[in-house]
Amino acid sequence: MKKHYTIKYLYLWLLLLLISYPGLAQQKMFTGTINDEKGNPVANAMITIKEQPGMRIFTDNEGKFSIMGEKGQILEVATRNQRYKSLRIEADQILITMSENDDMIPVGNRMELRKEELTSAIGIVKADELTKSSVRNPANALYGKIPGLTVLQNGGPSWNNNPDIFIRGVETFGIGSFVNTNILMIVDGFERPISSLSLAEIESVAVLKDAAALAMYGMRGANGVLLVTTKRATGKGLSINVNYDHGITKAFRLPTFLDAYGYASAVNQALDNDGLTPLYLQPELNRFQSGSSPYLYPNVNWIKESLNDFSTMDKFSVSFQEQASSVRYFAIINYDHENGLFGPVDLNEGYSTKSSGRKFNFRTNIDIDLTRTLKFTVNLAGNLGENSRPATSNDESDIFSAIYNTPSAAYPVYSFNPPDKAKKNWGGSTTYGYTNPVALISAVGYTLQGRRELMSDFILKRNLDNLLKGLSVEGGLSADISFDYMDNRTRKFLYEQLQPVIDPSTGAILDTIATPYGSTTTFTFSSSEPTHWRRTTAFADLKYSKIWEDNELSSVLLFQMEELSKPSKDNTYRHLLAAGTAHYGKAGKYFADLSLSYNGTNVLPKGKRAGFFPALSLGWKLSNEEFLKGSAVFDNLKLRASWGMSGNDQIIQNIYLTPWISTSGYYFSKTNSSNSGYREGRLASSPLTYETSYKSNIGIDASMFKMLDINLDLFYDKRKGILVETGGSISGVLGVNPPYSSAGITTNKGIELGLNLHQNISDFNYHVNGQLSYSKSKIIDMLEVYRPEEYLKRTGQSINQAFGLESIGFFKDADDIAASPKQTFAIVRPGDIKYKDQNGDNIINSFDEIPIDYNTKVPELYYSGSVGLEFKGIGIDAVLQGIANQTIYLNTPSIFLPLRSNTNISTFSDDAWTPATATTATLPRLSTLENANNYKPNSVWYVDGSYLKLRSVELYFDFPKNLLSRLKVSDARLYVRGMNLLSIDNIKIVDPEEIGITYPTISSYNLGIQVGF
Amino acid sequence: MKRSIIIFFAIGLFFTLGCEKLPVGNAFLSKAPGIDVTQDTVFSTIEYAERFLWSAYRTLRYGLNTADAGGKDDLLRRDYLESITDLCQSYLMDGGAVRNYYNGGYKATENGMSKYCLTQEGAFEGIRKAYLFIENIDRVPNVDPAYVKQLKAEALMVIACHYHEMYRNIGGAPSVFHAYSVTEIIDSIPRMTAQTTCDTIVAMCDRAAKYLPWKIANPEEWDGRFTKAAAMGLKARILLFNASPIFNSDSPFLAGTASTRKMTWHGKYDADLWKKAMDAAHDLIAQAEATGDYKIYHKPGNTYRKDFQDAYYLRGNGEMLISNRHVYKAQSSSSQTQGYYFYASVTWGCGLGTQELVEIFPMANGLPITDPLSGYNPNDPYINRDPRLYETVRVNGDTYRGRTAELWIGGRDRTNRTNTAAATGYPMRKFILDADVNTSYGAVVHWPYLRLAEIYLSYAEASNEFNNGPDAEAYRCVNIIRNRVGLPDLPAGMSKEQFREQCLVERACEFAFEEVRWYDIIRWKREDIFKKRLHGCDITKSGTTLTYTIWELPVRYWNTTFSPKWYLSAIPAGEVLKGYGLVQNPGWE
Repeated sequence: MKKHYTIKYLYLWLLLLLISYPGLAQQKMFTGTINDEKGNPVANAMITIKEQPGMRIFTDNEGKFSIMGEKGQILEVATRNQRYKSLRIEADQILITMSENDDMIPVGNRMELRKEELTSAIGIVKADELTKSSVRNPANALYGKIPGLTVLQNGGPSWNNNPDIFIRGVETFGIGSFVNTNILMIVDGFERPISSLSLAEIESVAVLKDAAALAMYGMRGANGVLLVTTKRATGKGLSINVNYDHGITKAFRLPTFLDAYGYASAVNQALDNDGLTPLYLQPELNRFQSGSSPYLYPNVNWIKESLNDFSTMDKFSVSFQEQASSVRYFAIINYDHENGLFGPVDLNEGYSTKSSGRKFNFRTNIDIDLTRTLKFTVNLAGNLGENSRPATSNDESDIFSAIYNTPSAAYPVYSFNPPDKAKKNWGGSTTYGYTNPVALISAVGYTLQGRRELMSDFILKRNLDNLLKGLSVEGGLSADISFDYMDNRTRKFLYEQLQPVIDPSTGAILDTIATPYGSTTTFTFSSSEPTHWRRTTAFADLKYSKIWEDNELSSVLLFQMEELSKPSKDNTYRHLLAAGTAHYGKAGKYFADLSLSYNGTNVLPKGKRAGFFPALSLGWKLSNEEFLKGSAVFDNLKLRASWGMSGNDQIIQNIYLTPWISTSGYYFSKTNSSNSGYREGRLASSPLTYETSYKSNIGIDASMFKMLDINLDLFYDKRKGILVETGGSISGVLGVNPPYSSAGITTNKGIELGLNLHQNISDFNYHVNGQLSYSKSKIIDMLEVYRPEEYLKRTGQSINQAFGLESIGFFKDADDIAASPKQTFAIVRPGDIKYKDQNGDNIINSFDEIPIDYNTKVPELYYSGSVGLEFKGIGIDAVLQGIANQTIYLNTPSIFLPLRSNTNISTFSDDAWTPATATTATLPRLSTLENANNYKPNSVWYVDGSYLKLRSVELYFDFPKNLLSRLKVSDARLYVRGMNLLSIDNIKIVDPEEIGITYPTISSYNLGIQVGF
Repeated sequence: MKRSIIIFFAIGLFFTLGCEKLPVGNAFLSKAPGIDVTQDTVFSTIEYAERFLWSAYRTLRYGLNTADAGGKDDLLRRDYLESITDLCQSYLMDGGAVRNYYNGGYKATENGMSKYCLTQEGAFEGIRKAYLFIENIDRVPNVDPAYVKQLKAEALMVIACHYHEMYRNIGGAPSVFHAYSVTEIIDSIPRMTAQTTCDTIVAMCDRAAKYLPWKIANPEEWDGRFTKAAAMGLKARILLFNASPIFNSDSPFLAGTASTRKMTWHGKYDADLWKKAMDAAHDLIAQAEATGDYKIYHKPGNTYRKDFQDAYYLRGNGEMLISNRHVYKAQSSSSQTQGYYFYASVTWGCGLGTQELVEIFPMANGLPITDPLSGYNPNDPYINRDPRLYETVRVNGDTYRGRTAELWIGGRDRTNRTNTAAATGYPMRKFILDADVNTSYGAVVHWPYLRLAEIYLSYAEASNEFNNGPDAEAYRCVNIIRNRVGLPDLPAGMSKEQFREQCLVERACEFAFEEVRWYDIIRWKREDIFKKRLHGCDITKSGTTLTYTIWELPVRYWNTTFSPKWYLSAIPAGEVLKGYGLVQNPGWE
């Protein structure tokens, strides 16, 4: 009870501090100049004096300023691109150089530090880099931008597109399908998805990688944190920025399927391989080839019938920012519109079944000085997105499933009767299904699906210099809501199957049977609200900073409560955080950071809810030591080391209880009345805790010869407390699902390297940037089930290591089969995959599966390279990004696994075994059957997933300033840009990042203009 | 300066003391009350508690292919236990018989797809449920104490049934005598000796019999619950197994640690065990005949075939002692709802009778077909046979779906030789019947776990062993079963060995596909049957002439490489290695 009063008292005390007033002192005029590292003047930089809050001075176009103050006061400089420096006023003339080292880096939980003083591993990318992409989801602008940040593209149209994001690979694994590898995304200090934003509103994206940066996030940080900062008003006066971008989109890659003749021949070949009778007679094959009977023997290129080669996208944004007396605001509206690739969408009168997505983002970030010491910040943002598409039961992937899986020879688009095209019946067949792709696109009606999101932050900040110099208090609240809706207008339609009656001896067509299926209906309407969520966060913090002699201290104490609610039982997540961090610097050479956080979560039971996460990091700036000062080699050299803990509480809710579940019962009596049952669910997990990651990191930051920057980080993480199944160690005698246990242990180690070479030679400047991240995980303990062979064990391997049988070629003939170990999956025939008998028991079964190459989830190696050249305002930029050491499993029907269940066959299968190509074939024989022997995880279908992609290339032209100034335009740029243009990889037939049947990845060619006033 | 540091660290200390200790902390992080169903909820009313018991019933063994009962679809992977006996051959390519037994691939490390995997049969699940029920039912308020005793006895029978399956398949069972917690499990669960296991099961049956009703008072509602007759029947069955040579012998069937420790052997031959088996069977027979509540099923007006069919197929027919139910009706031919695969699976190649099965049935005159006087004609082999043959497999010329079965190659029921649905020439008929919508897809089904007929035959067998030959009562008990299908009495004057063999033949004919044969051949250690090459039959039709060609089925691993280890299942190696006290069976170490 006592503490209860204490906290009330604390709040009251903070409130009193908020409304008290500071005093004033005596002044004189100082003047100064601010330049950047290239020697150019920095215009519009804001200068304040720490002791005199509320007063703001801006530099002019020559970088000059003059300000009233006192000697010994602290002068603070903030530039437009989030650079910051503070220094003591000592001379009347002040010369300040702002460099990259002065970048303000958000280090998490409401603290920022200058890059120069960082002791933790943090990577950052800023707006000018990000806006070189024309993407709707800002996450798609992050490929290869920050070492340690792995972004993997996914298919899906832009309005549903979310890449997979990992920080330093993965070092945990979920149970079953439960995902616990999500990183934490923070926007302006509050948890939010980056996909809710538009690229134009983002100022910077930072990645927190080591414990020193993550410990403050308690049990939410272990997978890494992505910190997004949105733009705020900087500089003087009003500035307006307008950006319009028009793009042409196309599928990055589409598979090529065999034409009807090729398909029919392949089916015959497959049937022959299976020892079955061929399906098509030679005259029928001829008809496919000649196209002489397009209705009965069609040859439909479904991709061509269903998809346009190109589509379009438009992006428009306009932003305003202004500093007006005590109010500063940044406001933006952004509109994205993209059309999908489906072609035949306008066949209906009165409506279109077009697939397209529209999204309107808005944001207003306002800072108000209520008094000279009390600042009020309001951020209001949101988005309204709506997309339309044909009303298939799932999403666009239903249609792609039909396009890819329906063979060219299946049926014609339309049957031939009646002759009036508008009333033609759709082609379909019982064998290949009633999923005519063109009909699915144009005739099933349409769906409107939308999402509305509102994000709001309210923060009050009070300077408490009157109480203690350097002390301030802050309190805030954020409330977000996201709501999805869906309206379906669905109809059905009539199909007609056309079947020729064939003379079995000659193949002549004797008759045609036309069978209609289904009927054309009018619209039915349905609507739903697929998901919604709401999140509320409240925080209060106390900041204290002090500079004395050559010492410097800044610190934060934070208390935060948050709640995320989703609409179902056990789907509310609450966290409580008390955290403190202190940064200490000595003489600009030695730095130390200490973070302590105490974090509680509602997914764990009472008494085990909270965890303590400390971290310590040290930095030594050698370049400020006497022996390196003025060195010709090193402009900057810093060593960093950190150790600390971070947690992860992404575990299934409520598993600390044993649930009792209603279940199937028993049929007593002679009647059909079942007596339903109850059963005991999985036993309460024990021990149950959050995951703890023990993270160590050492790093070097160096700048050399004024043209080369090097960043190197080495890390070693050990994670404990991963929730695993215990069935491998607890006896089956138990008789119920054994509890989960937080007993899993993994390690993860790796290296990150960033190199940046940049130079200015009068009007010419260039940069060449290379980044490389390598991480490799290892399972140390997972209470694995007993496996009889060492090579079968998952323990000791990477997380998500690929396991499968090892192919040693294909069976030549019956003798070969008889002489080989018996394969137990199916009856094998010549041309089937022959497996290596790993344990020498002469039987090939699941005990012969070995680890194959790498893991299937995250590439071990992720790298990128970018080049930029600029001459007199004309420039070119290109970004290449690649991965290596990842295995992918080619198990997509039709594209890789042909013909099963009347699916399709692509050119990928050209290399399939036939008796004639037995020596050169790389794939097993074709089969129309399930063929459990060939189509299981094995070294034929597990392939190297590496690729190197040209992510973006841009040619731009900056209009000369002197020309613009006459037009009252401050800057203007015209650009031509290509996104996601090329890939060098092994897969070739589809995008190696998206091998499934889904909406393909997209390339785009954009033309854009950006004008600032 | 000093003041600032003190303030700073005071506040820091305050926070780091912990959010959980703050009143606001736990209140904020606790969840809303009243949404979780727990053990206390279930044992708060008799309705809920009963439902828990019914789910224990649901774990009972079901011999037809199901996918829903505790992972049991991996039991031989949708195949029939019969398919690893001489009566049946499976052509289900991904079934356990083909993949694990015919090729000798079964190992202690193979968990699924075996005939009995200790941890995957729902046994421990059922036992846990039953013990949890017994341990908690007294908490339920306002229940008639007599009814509580009955319910506990039913739960005990669930345990006994599972123990009995363990006993028949692995020998001495782990000693699980209450619902364990995870930590107890890690310590020690030793394996009992074979005799102790049997004694345990017998004691459970005896105890249950005390509180169970002799028969179900209102079968319209509750037919299928355990009765005193069920308890007595299970006891008789387990005692017969216990007396059989596999364990009851002067030497173990195979040497090994488990044999030395008497887990798979009693240590010596004890003739008295036959007496116990005989007496237990006769107790039930006598009480059944005295009360008239249970009898060998016969309905006036029925044909022999119909009587036999109803005897195994019909719920609540008075012959059924234990009947297990997962669903009420079988689903459509291919429907996998409720996990019922058994109609579909016969078309995939399950349950094909062998020539040996067909030949084991005598002629309708009671004489085996090998008898020159029997009248058996190899060129017209299916006429005038034991009516049970026609109800066990589909033979050419029999009625089927209101027409004649055409099982010659090219006939309607065997369109080509490789058609897996009739690969041996004898598709299964038991349980499948006419395999059409009108007769069987929608029919009421159950698994005839134990029929009174078996008790009669068990008595005859045990008495023959104990008395060194059949006495009049032994004859009477076999003849009752034969007479039901119109077969005449056995000839008098049979030797002990002849009568023993006759009992096994009678059991094969009566209980084919009812999971009796496998246990008969292993308890009698019939290596000869394991080694026997089996056959199928092709019928070719030319005009109206049918030609019968008997051909050898693919060789089974144990035809050529036999070891007595096959009599019992291995204990999953992973379980043995968990080190809580399981000892591996002989030959599987």
